[in-house]
Order: sequence, then C-alpha cells, then structure tokens
Amino acid sequence: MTSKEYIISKIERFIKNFPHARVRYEHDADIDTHFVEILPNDLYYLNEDYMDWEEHMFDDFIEMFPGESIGFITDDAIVGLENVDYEFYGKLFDVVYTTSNDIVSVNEELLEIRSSTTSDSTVVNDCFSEMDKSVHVEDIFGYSYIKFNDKSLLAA
Amino acid sequence: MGKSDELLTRTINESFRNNLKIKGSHNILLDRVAQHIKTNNRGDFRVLNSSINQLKKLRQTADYDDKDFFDKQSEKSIKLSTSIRKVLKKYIPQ
Repeated sequence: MTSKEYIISKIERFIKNFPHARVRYEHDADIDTHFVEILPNDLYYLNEDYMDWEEHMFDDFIEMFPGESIGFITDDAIVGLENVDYEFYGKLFDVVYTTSNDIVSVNEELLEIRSSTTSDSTVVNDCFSEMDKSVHVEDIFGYSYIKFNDKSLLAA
Repeated sequence: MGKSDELLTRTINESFRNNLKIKGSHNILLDRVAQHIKTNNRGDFRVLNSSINQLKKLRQTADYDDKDFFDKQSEKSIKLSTSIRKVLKKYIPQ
C-alpha cells in the first residue's frame, strides 16, 4: 500500500465517523508532504475526537512512511491547497464558512444568505449578479459567516 | 530534546532501508521533533505541524519553482516562521 492509498483509506473511514466533515487531500510530491484539509474549522479546532484522530493518524503515518510528512490544515490556513487530489464529503456536511481569509470560493448551489450586517441590498444584488457556476465572495459584509437565505436581502 | 543524534541517525538509516526511493532526512527530523512536542503539548504540536508544512510549500516555490515570489508570500512565510519559532523556543533550552 502506498502512502497515498493509506491516507485515502483512512479518510474514507474518517468521513463515515464524522459525517459533518469535508476533507480535501493533496499530495505535494516536490516536498514529499501530504496535506489533509478539514472542514468545518470548528471540528478542526474544537472537537477532541477529531484531534485524537489527527494525532493517531500522524503517529501511524510517520511510522509507516518515514521520510514523508503529513500536515493537517483547515480553511484559514495561510497557504491553502492548490492541486487537490481528492475531495470527500460527509453525508451531513453543510457549507458554513468561518474562515478568516479575505476571499472564499463557494459553490453557487450551496450558497444562501441567512443574515448580513449590511442593509444595502444593492451590495447583495451586485454579489449575486457576479454569480456564474461558482462565485468569489469577498468579505464585503465585514464578517466571515455568510448564509444566503434571507430573501428580503434580495429585494431590490 | 531527549533524542540522541545516534537514535536519529538510526531512524534515518532504517527509513532508507525500508524505502526503495530514498526520502528526505529533513522530513524525518521534522516529524520526530513534532512527535516529541506532541508528547508535551498537543496544541503546540498542531501549530508546528500545520505551519511547518505550509512553510515548506512556500520554500519550494521560493527556492526551486520557476515562479515569482511576491511580497505577500514573503509576509506569509514570516508569519508562519514566527509561529514555528514561538513553539520551538519553548522546547529548546536557553
């Protein structure tokens, strides 16, 4: 079993135990390092069970594949993933962005506004007019938790 | 650190024997340091592990890739290095 196969098998099992998660995996061959990005980031930062899993995963991996490294990140990583190899969605994964990044990329189909700190509906409409198959939403609302299901915000 | 040079050399040599392709001793060293820190403080380990791997990516771009390396990337590198140093300093006797 290669290191990549090993990680994939672990993630497949992980996503069943953590159905609210999304995991993206990237192997950077130049630096012999595997990146595992975990969402949502409260799972990454606050969930003890997740942290136990990460710890064991790290120990097992470096014992089995010395010379290679594995790094765990979430969506506020300073250097994010560039060439994602695999993406896994838990059954209950819900898109909630809690990133501190200035720009987030989201799938249009998964986007909804729940609330906003701005009452300027034109801002929202401008935002929606930018939408194609995917959209880049800048941090125009002054905070990073964006849910788009308040229909009144869409009224011109 | 409680890990002697001899032990480290042995670990590196073992990994060379176990891998057809010779992998980097830097990674082995970094992983062992991270593992040692983990036994003391999981939070420190997580900061170190996450930051160091991100920094490796930037270092690859800066030193080896045929790409521009802009001031924003330099700032990111400094930010990551600062968090790494903060953790390492706790475990290196002054």
